[in-house]
Amino acid sequence: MESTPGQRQHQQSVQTRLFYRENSQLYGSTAGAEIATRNQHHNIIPALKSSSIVGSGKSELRDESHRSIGFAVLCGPACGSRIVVVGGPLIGLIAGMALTVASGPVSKSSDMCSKGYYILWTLFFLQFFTCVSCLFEDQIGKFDWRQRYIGKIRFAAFDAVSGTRKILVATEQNVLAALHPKSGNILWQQVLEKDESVQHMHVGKELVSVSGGPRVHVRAWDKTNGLLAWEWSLSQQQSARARWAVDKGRLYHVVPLDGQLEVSAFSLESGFDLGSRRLAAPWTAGGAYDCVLVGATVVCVTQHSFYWTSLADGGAFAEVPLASFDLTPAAVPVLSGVGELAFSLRLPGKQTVFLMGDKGPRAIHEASATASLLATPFDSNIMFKLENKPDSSALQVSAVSLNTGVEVDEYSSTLILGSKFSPCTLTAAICIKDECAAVLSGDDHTISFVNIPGQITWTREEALASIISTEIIDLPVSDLDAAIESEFGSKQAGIVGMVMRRLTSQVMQIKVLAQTVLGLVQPASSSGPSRASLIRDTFGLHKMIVAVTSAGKAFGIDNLRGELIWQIQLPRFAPLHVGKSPVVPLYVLRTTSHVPFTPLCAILGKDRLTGEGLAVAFEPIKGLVLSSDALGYKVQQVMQLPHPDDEFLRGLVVLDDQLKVHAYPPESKANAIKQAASLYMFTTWPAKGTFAGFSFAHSTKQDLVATKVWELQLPDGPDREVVAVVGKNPTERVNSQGRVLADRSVMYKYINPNLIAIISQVSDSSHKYILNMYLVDGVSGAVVHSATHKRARAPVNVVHSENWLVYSYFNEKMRRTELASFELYEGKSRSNTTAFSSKSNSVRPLVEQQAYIFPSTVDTMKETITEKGITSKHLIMALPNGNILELPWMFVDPRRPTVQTGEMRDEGVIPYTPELPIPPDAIINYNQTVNRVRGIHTAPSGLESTCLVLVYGLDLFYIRVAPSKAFDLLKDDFDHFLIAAVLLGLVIASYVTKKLAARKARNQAWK
Amino acid sequence: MKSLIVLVLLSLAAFSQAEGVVDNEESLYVVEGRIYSAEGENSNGWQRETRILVNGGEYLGFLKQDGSFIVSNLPSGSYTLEVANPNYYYEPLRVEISNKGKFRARKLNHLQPSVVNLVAYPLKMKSLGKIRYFQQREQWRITDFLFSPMVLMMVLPLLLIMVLPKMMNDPETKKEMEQLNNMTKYELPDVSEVVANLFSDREEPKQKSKASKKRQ
Repeated sequence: MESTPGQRQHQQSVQTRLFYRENSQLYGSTAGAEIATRNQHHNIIPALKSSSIVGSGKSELRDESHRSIGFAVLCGPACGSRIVVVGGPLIGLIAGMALTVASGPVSKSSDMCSKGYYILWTLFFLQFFTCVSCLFEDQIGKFDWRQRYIGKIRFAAFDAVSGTRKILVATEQNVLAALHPKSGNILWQQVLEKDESVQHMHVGKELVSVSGGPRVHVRAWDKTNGLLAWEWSLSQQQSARARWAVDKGRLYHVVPLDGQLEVSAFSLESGFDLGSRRLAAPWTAGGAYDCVLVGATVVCVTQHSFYWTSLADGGAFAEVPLASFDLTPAAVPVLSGVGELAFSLRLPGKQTVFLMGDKGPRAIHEASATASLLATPFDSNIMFKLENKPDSSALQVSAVSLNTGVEVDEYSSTLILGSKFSPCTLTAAICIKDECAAVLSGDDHTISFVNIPGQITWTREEALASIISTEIIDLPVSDLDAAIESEFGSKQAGIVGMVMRRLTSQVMQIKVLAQTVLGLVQPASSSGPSRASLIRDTFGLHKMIVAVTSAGKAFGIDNLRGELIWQIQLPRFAPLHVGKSPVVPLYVLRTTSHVPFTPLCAILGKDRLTGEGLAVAFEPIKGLVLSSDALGYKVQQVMQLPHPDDEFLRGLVVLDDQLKVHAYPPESKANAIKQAASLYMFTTWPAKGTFAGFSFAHSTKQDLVATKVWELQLPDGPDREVVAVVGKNPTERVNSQGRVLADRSVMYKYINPNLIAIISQVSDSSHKYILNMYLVDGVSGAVVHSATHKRARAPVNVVHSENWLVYSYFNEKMRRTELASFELYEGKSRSNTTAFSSKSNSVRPLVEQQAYIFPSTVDTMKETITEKGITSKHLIMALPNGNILELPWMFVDPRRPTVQTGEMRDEGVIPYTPELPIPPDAIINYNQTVNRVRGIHTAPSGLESTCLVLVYGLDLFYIRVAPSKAFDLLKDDFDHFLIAAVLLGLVIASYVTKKLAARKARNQAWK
Repeated sequence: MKSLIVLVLLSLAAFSQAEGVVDNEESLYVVEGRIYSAEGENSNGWQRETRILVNGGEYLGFLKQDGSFIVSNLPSGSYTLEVANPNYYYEPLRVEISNKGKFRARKLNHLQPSVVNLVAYPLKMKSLGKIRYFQQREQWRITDFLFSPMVLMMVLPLLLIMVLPKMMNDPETKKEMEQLNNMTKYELPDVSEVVANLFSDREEPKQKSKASKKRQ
């Protein structure tokens, strides 16, 4: 690693901006040089082992025999520096120190890692993977389910030509799929590039898709089996007004340029460039026009006239004034295609359908402006019209003959949707003989299939392909248990009332017992999603998944089978954004355990129209919206109160963009004021690189007041970007407060629930990219630890839990993904044995750190969580090839030693290997690929051993995992028969031998 | 060393660049190859389940009926190429495209990125075997049953109860046993004596044990 002057300078600037240096011994270039020399000595392993780097400075912690036990004191009090504190009494102590973790030279091969040696290590280390989490083949589908989704329809078409009828769709998620017209099941699907979109779809002999931009992929797919037939690609200018068309074996691309329209033609199958022409179109100059391709004709409209020309022979534009159709629009009308031959011209208030002929457009029909129109292909000459009727929650479908422009009565029908109503558009329609069918796409991302005349035969809830946040919620207890609960719940009832209630509940209990004994009542079956079966089970494995989507829809899903229990429409609800990524804070305000009170969840988002905050409170088991409140301000940060009020409601504290504080629901304000003295909030402005902490201690008896107590400004760098801000899961519990070392002493964990990991990326002239990680205490603003990765960049995925932090990043130098792992310890004594306090805590944690090579990129990752935190932690990682990997945290333990000593073996630490394995039996979704994972949600079950995992992205996958094996459950294959046989055998044997012994004694007596 | 076939492929993008559609853009290349299924050529469906992920899904390749694929629109650089198939494992590769459009493929080695282990280009990828996601369940066998501790626990006492007394009844074995008993008596010092000596005075035991030996 060469440290060029430029680099050094940059490092210096990073530090001087952040810290006031008192002791420069370990900073900046010194540390960098240290790393450089170290890396030349060792090879692969030291390059990644950064603890050795830290240890080089001050490794104070040694055991009695003066051997370093691998802990390094990062910064003693001497090198603690201070940061300027904004407007508050708290002093943010900074013990930050930039450390380079990775990107060492790993190129030279040496004796240490000759191949055989490495294989030996790997073998040694694989034995630790003794099937902690793997499945047996007969357990397929027993604890897991997968649901496949495709997203909202962008283009759809019927395929009536090839063998089986099917619906071909291209979606906004860039997925191509064929759906079965009878059931809506996916016949085949192809998931195209992640961040691109389908621009055009054409169904001919094959399904042709044009996707991407500015580098465009043109691909053709076999309609029956979804295999690629041919593909080619081209680079094109991106324009929102660019249009594509396929006609007679040619692909046309129409791009408006200044005053011209450029038409490029390509041979469809080979991609051969047939040349491009520029058509003079002076009326496009101002941009006040709209174009549509009708078959191979381009039709444009301005405020005054129609212009059209054929793409194939390409003469000049023909013009017809709009006035000749008695149209005098006030603004530029909007054009939209209506099948292969017709288009519609939309004005405020009405739209007119034109049929394109040789002599130009011909008006044939008038419809309301909101109606969705679509002509069927082939010779049926019918155009369907769909009108949304929100007043009656219904859709009105009617048909218009294209020849006459008159409505055909036999095809009109009304579809009543009821509470599931959402405005729909027609995306595909077909008529074969007298039977017609259409595919509707809803604003809530549903795909519906309608027989015309008739009803909706199936609906796909494609909103589930865009889940943003989820929560797994306990089901309520049964009515009987609820009755017992309510006995203790109410305080008003007198002695007589209490006695009466007790007696009635006991009578009820006896009745239920008698019924179950006599077999009159079936125990709650797990087969149906009926309301009666939605009762908490003994082990707490049956729960409700609440999922909020970006489509403005929330769902309740039964976790055992994956059935949708309820769905609620939130028509004006849109997610908030942090940076580019959408977020919807979802909170459980009241759990299901407090029976007389209804459970309550709340989501925060913004109003689709005004952009102001919108909070929706709903009951999560039945899916009832209780209130939907416009907040009247923009949400900056939200936090849940730590303690519930008398009604077991834990309200929210919301900070708006003017830094005013609000309580939600408003009645929880009193509770918030009561707790205000010990309430702190942390918020970030990712674009500015600013982080700030607020205290509510200055709140009055009437109002909540937030006072800024600290602020942290990341140094300005070129293209500085905050890539991750991750706190800890507030529901997490840590059972073991320390780690027992080989010499029986205890190393206490630094468990700071307020710790927040911040990762930022800056670009740099000599290193390309630099990643900086800061561990910040959210209450006091102290930078507890920091690290720097040179030549490393996003994608970054962070898992922050207990006393450790693991994140993945891309090492540019080595061109591979690496996992950096940190572990924080207080030392051998505890600073505070009862509770952690960020304010009084002055302990600088000891930090262990290490990096590992991960042989794949990581889409997202999450740690497992269990009820009491006794079970060991695993990382659930989603890989781009659709696998979900369960990696024991033990594998990324930063204490893994390079040289295995007896002590470490006693402690159960695996020796260090630079590359982590991906063993196939740790892939928990076996061959059920989960596409484009965006998030993983983990939740504890009632069993300590078991953690519930929901993976969401394009597909949904649910499984339960047992990180330390199911130690509190009998095994699946537990041999009841053998046990019974042995017991029975023993009983029989004892009787037989008793008899025999008696006989023998008698015989002996006779002798 | 395998001979390296270097093919310079001008992508269609480059072609269109020649036509002047796109200006001032670096040339784009196409990586091509073919996947050979372990299931055989005629089996269906595996082509659809298989995708080519370049740089972990940044670029994608799809398979045709015969298993061939192309990944297009790649600027020159170094890429990891992996085959994502839910049932079969394929070795990941690194494909490098030079500024001049030369292709080189080698085995992916995260540990030592500079080690070059060349693979023929255009890529021909064969499956290294079926991925075993599942643990094998133990089979039920009679020996397992017989030697399981519970069965042993039941059978051994039975043996002791039923067989040993029978043996004791046999006159010859009785004699043998007696002889054995005598032998053991002769050789081993009396246990109770030894224990008693241990707890008595420290100096005495040696003498006493000697005395007892003499007596015998």
